[in-house]
Amino acid sequence: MREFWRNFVNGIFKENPVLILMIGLCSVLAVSTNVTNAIGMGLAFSFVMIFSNIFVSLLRPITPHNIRIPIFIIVIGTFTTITDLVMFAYLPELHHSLGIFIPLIVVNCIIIGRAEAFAYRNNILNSIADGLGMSVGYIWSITVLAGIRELLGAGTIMGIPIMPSFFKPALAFIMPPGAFWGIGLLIGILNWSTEKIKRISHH
Amino acid sequence: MKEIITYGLILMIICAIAAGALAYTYVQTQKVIALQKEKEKFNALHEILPLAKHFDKVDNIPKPKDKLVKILEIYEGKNNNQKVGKVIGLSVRGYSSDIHLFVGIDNFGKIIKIKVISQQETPGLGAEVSKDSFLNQFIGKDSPNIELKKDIEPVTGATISSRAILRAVKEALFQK
Repeated sequence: MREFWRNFVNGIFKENPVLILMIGLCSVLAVSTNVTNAIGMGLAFSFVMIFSNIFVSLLRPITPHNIRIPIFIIVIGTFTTITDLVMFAYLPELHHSLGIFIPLIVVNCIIIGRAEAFAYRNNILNSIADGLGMSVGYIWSITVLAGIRELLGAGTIMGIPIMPSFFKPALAFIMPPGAFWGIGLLIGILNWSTEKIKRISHH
Repeated sequence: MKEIITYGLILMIICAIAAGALAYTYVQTQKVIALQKEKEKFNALHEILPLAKHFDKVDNIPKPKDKLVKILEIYEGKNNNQKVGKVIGLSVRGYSSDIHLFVGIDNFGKIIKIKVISQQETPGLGAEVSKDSFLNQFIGKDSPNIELKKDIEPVTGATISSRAILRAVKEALFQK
């Protein structure tokens, strides 16, 4: 149980896929224009992440080392397509706004990275923990980034006006530069605070 | 040699299972997706022409004047066999996607409502052209002589997407 917990927590801060490992950034930067899309993308990502980890771990005994990558890709591709179809059928609104980003989960480096670095070497329980942790890490990063961008770029959160009326939204935050500023800021804050915490616990 | 055969077999089995799972999901969701699309279309048509009880598809679709615009479908809205207006479905190239929209025109040739059915423009920028705050500017227009900035305020930072919508609306007004 302790191991499960450790693997779970690992993805949230220490090995946060977006802010520390910095992989799979393209979809993060592209989708984080508003909070609603960010949460939707986070959930779609989590589904694929957790199930791909489970199946990669399950298939370990029959996965020859030499052809592991094609097998990972089949597993990931299958779950991404299932997510795409199910979302189209039951959450059409969300599917509308996520549209092109769902198929992109297939090539999301976080998922294949975790399949190779973790699920392929660990049992199912730990792989689930890792998948959950990575998902939580991904969701909070993309949601906070989207929150910053939506608040400063449009003055709203999830479409609800938040900022006072004299506030003039800075459109640049919705545009690609805003994504880079936002993610730079987050990486900086996270590194600064971990450094601080480390120093305090050291003394 | 033996290795290649084992690898091939393993890959084949995994692919077969994956294909089976996908086929099952596809068949299960396809019905819902088709229903959803049908319902969405009727809802969209109904929203544009609330007076119409049913919609007849027009069979011969005229050629568009503007080569960049495609006319996909035309519906005549009817209420007890009385024509109440027309809905023209058009597709136009935007900034990063094809924008598909419905333009509702009443019996007097005036635009009553415009609705964007699907688009994949830049979220937060080009995608704003599907909002009513932009589209409602076209309501009441009856001649294709409309210009961006003069008659219609484009979405900030999304001139290309705004112009694409304008093109489609002009085409619809030519066809009324």
